[in-house]
Amino acid sequence: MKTVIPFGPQHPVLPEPFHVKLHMEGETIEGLDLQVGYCHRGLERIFQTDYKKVTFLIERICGICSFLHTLGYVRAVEEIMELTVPRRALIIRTIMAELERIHSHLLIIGLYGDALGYENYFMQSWRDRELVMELLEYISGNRVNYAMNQVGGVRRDLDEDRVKAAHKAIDELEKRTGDISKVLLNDVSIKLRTQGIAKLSKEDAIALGTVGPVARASGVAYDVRNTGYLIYPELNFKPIWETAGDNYARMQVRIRELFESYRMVREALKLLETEGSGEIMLAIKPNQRPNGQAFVRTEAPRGECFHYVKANGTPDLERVRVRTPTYANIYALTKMLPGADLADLPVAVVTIDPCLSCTDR
Amino acid sequence: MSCPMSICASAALPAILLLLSPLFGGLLAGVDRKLTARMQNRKGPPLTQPFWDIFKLLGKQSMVSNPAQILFAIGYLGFMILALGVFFWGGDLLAIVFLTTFASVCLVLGAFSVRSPYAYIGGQRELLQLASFEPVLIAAVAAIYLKTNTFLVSGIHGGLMPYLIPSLLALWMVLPIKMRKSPFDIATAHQEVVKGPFTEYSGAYYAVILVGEWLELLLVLLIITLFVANPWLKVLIFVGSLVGELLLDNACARLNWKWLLRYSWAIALPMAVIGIMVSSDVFRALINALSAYIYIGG
Amino acid sequence: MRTEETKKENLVAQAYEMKKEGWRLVCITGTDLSTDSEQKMEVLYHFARENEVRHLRVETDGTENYPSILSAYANALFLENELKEMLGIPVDGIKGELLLRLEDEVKAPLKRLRGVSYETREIKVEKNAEVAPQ
Repeated sequence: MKTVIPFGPQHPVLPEPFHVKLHMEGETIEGLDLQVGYCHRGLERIFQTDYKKVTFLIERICGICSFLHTLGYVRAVEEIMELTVPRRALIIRTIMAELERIHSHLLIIGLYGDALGYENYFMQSWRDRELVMELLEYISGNRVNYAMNQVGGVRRDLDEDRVKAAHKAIDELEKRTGDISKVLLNDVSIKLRTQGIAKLSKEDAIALGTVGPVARASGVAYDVRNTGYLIYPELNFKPIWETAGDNYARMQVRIRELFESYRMVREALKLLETEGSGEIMLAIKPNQRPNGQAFVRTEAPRGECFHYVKANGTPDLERVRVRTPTYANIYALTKMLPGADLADLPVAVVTIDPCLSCTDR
Repeated sequence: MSCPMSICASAALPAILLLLSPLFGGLLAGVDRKLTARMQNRKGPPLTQPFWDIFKLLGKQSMVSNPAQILFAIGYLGFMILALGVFFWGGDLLAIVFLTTFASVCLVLGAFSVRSPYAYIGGQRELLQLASFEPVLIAAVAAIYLKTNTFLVSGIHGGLMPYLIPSLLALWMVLPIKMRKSPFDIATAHQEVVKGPFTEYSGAYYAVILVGEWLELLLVLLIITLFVANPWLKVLIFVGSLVGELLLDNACARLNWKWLLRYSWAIALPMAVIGIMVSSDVFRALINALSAYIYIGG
Repeated sequence: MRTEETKKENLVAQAYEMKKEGWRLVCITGTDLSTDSEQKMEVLYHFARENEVRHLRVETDGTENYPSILSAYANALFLENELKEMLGIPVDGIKGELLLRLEDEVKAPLKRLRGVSYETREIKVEKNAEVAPQ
């Protein structure tokens, strides 16, 4: 029997609103129409203001990857203004970016457990996430929207106590992630529900322009961190990828990325310790204004995030464009889901890690 | 031992038990939530939380799409009360099975009577769950009959063990389906179909459905206690079934309806059929003949 | 950031060529550069291939028909929808109903009016207003 099921904008599995109109044949999905835009706040229009204010505005695009948005933006402005950011600031930015990735991945791993009806797993993963959120609060003063970046550097330094606390938290997190990854990768009921389901082939992943863990799970070994911004080249970053392209592989990529992030945070913290204290912020003259345009790609937890800034020498920016990873990934649902069960829809939606506030801006 | 028997024979005790059963069922639901929370390392709600939920629901506006929904909600609870009553009065097990089936059918019809797609899919899934659970339950009841020669609950005084172990195992296997727990909580999978057949109920009618659910849980656990005679063993099997089920719930992801059917018809139902065979006279005669043959032949 | 100028007539052919060379469409950015005297919009196409990036720049006045590269790049669907919604560029075959939920009230929030103000909110004249005395 053919039915049309409205999935969202309000639905228990969706943390943020978007709408999927499902064309069903019994319990099998035949096709779907996507509708986003429920969180549209017209931010790109509001960004046409003082470039220093935009740093704090752009952080409000999203709560989970707020640091990455400011990072992309300040990198673009610094490129326009030809600023050389102090090395210590770069290291701190790398640490923050990776901590945010850890926090985002643990969040989505928990939601994945919830989408599978595995409440216990969800609780455990979010309890672990509390550790990294407490660490982020200790470093920046905020659990989300850290307000760390500013054009020319970062606003807060990591002193000895904070470095020590970070080392401790990362050790504990690595141990706990080891435990939850055993369940995620080996549990029979999870495997039955996710392996070979909602597959995205490598060709489709490239054709649909998917980015981040979604693309990497389909065998596209593409990670923007490889392009060598911040201090990633020094940390010997290697992209992590799988070939299966199913729900299982997408989460597998995230789990493996967590361990890579722990390693990189540790090495970056060691760099902070060995190099001693230094400048973290460039002084910018009040009359110094950006003039020109820049295009910057940053690897957000969900994939490649794109920022474009166009300035014309006046205090107000002409254009700020943000293309978030979910914007690129969400359309892949229309290729993944036909043929899958209704029961697989929440899981597939969670594995692309949708962030609709980012998508709609 | 004659004293309790005489009380049982009177009508007073079953009536009191039936009156207290919502209280007991609610506490059971509270224990369920508390234990689940402790297993997930949470504090969990107080034991009385299900009752507060009911009081809150009773105070809310009761919206219904059509009057038939009300009928089916009350029908669900009514059949459950009847089934429990039959159980407490020591009545026919077969009647209990059919009454619970009627109750579930009421739930499905209530879901089908509205135009919500979530309720509709939930209703379909509820039917699948019914089709997975009922055959096993009926087979278990049949096995009990073959062993005791009666369908009356009051006529069962133990002695079922060890012949009925396969039937008990089969019942345990399908228990998650009836308790709406992982891995087989597909009808009420809130990430998929919101609340399945219950989606379109609200206020007092949802409270009615919830009380019906408590009674259903209580009844299923009580049927399992029939398999043992000793009162302490009865308590043990009652609590053990609940705790074991919660453990499974917290160590499992939800499977989909295909796995539900495969599991219940390919594993649980054959197990229940083995239970029938083991408890039947034919089987015993066969064993006797075989042992005699071996004895003579040896 | 270096941009390559191109004409909108050549855009689709160029998009196919870039796809063949393995370039991935990252984003499409539309900016309204209108001044008091002229109406001008630029559309930037950002492409990436591993660590290289390329940017195509197309100029349009924002009113005449604009080609869609959807046939070459499937992921241009959302981006071109946004181009139409935010800037009002009439992209071929694109309906422009992605982000804005109040189609009747808000039109092309990023479009400039006479170079200074923005056409952010076009409030419909209600029927009662016609009856009101001038």
